[in-house]
Amino acid sequence: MIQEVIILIVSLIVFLILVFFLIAVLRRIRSARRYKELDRTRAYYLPVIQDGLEKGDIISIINDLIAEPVSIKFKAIEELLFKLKERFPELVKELFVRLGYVSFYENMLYDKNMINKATAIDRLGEIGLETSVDKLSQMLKSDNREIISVTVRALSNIATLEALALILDYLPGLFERWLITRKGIEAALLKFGDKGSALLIQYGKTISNPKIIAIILDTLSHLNNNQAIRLAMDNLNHPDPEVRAKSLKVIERFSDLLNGKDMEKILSLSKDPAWFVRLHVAKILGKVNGKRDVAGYLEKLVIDENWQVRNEAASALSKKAEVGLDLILKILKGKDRYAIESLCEEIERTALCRVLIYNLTSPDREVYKKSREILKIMNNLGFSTPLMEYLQKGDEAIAMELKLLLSEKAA
Amino acid sequence: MKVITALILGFNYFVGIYYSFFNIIYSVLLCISLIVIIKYIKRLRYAPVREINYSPETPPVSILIAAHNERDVILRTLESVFSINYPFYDVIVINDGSHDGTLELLIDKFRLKRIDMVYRNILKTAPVKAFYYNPEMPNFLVIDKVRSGKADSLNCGINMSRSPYICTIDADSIVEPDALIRLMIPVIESPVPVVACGGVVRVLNGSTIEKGIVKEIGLPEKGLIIFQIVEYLRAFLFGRVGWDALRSILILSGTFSLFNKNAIISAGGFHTRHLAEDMEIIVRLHEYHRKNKKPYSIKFISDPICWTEVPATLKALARQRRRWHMGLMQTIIEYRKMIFNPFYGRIGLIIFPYYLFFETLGPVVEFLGYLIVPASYFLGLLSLDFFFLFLLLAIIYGIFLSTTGIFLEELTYRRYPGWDHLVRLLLFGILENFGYRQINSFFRFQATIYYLCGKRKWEHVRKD
Repeated sequence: MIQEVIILIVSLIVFLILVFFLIAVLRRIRSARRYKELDRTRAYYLPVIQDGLEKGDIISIINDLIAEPVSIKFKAIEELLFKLKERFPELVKELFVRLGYVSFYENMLYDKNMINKATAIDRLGEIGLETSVDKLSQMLKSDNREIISVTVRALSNIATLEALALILDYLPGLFERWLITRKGIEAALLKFGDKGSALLIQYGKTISNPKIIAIILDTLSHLNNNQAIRLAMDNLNHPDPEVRAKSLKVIERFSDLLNGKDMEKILSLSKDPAWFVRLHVAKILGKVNGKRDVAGYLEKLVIDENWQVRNEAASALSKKAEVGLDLILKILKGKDRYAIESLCEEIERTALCRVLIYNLTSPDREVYKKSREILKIMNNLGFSTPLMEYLQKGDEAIAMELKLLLSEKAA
Repeated sequence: MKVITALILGFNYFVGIYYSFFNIIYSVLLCISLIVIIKYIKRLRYAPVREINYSPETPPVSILIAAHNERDVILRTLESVFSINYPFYDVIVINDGSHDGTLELLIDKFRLKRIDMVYRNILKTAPVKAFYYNPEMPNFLVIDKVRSGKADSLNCGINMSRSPYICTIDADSIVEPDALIRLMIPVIESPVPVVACGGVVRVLNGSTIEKGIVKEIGLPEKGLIIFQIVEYLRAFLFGRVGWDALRSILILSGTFSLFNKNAIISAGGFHTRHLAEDMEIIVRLHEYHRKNKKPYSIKFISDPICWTEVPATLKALARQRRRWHMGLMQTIIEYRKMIFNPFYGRIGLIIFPYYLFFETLGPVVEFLGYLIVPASYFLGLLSLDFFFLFLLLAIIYGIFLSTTGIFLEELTYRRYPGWDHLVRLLLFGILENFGYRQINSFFRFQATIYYLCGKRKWEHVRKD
């Protein structure tokens, strides 16, 4: 009995191996033929379509291009149209409509197979017709997370204000119920570009969900609409720290537009309990010039309890020649090892190091003394590579000074 | 004598049951993989690869390459890494005490300059000697450190990384241009935080490389390498795909994996004294997130591809397989509390017992089987017909598993385009069961003995 069972299993396995082998061989043959035909069709129709598009005359080529859906010709022409879409966007869109691609994919939206449905949504997004927005809006009512995710992406590819308004309408649900990721939503919103920014600002004023405000602010921080700074200033004291941080991110982009009152509000966040809020304050302080004396704030942030904040503050400080050498010296003479090392590293990375070296021949004795002291401390802490490098190929007078400075360490 | 006979007979029954269980698990995995991978391939039609490549919201990644005496291959790897499509990434090479001129080659080739940087030992590592960079290539940093092994070097890279994600790549590997983006897709799209995500590793030997890109995929002359190609196809295309579908990934290849940096730091970094640091870190990530009740996910996806060199000699293969198996044993023993522990969910109840009973103890059972089953025949405890039938079943099922990996590749990615590729792969899939599989089992059995005798050391593998 057992022997018979084993023989049966062996036969079954051999049969399966043969079936798999047969499938593999047949698929290979079929694919080879298909790809050959596809290549041939593409090569034949590319000049035809290109010529028609260049002449702006698509009527004369339509009859030649019409193909049965799912045929090789249909696939080949679709690929060619997508390839030429960037050069001739409007004409290609019209061809997609006239050749039946749009209606084909719109019908496919009601396919029961989820993958086919998602493919149709994606293609309609790629084609980018404004008229598809209405059909796609139905897909946002789906119960499938993947369908919703692809629909949001497709709408962002169409990138009309109507599509944006639709996404914004569904945004709370997308985020809370369907768990469409934050990165996914932000990437989609960004595709609307600057033209969507006014609508985003408007929307940002009307909503209360802190997670969504943060998404809107984050998106605005990548766009060029300076009106966003007002929305950001309004949310600067929001109870949610993430909203405050994202507001500062927007402000950082438009820091040139800040007035004294705005700066007051921003500086008050240098004591914020959330470290990532303080981090953004440090970033802004590194960018603003002459708005007000920010040295005292930077001095505090350089010894912040969080290393990312200290790092950013040190970086900001190294960019600010106007802050003066006094503050740098004060920190370098302090006890906070982390702040000292961060500052030295930033000085070495930035142009400030060169400035300090050139200051060694400065006629201003104060500048000379302070620069020399900073370099000496850096050298003592092991940040001496730029000094050594300068010594080898730099100006002779400075090299003499550097030699002396380096020998002091040795002594 | 009666006792011995009873024991032998008992062992024969045990082998039969063990073998049946093993094959049932593999068959289930195979069915799952077949469905999952075919659906996945169709989904690739609308994968947001282009969107991620152009989005400013794509998270930055630090690519970490630990290099010890990699002078011959490091430039090729860097060429491949610098040609990937990814919007924000930096590359950190950690020179792990090389003495073959790897560092000098990098300095010379990329015109690197020494720079003083603050090294913060967030994850404790061996001392760093120097940092090198070129201001014209701000996304490239070379760290020169005292020799301390791959895990410690990766920890050193993590300490210097400023990105939220790190991607580990072996110094002798070639990454496909879209591989990192594809690895990032589940990270961006998953509603549950993905703390680690691994891609497929394929065998580079025999392929032609041009400007850091695999230009022409081919099969090498050496049979030993083709056996490994068949093995890799099986392991990655249906082993890991199946386990991933069951949300039970326990190993991601250290050759090419993406990690959330914070998760790695919170879990304590790569373990420096482990022989399989890539498996250990995955187990530790499971343990850490379960213990701290943090939502997490560990993913494996089958389309991002990294090509790597595999051992070309039996001696090198033996070293590699012994190390892998000892690493597996080390991890299983260290985390034994997870076995059958419902607190760890399916990791504790399914995958860990599977790795213990089938992957760890498998070579021992197999080796004993080779001795005891023929002995049973000679003692008259087993009929010749039954013995041959059982042997036939074992061989045919082995051939089925080997060839299924190749068929899966055929039905999905088909990276080996020639008819001669298909024929040779199938031939080696069949031949694998007549020697190569047994040799591998022997290496793993040997590793078990070494481990029990306390000979647990990292055996360096020279890949010619």
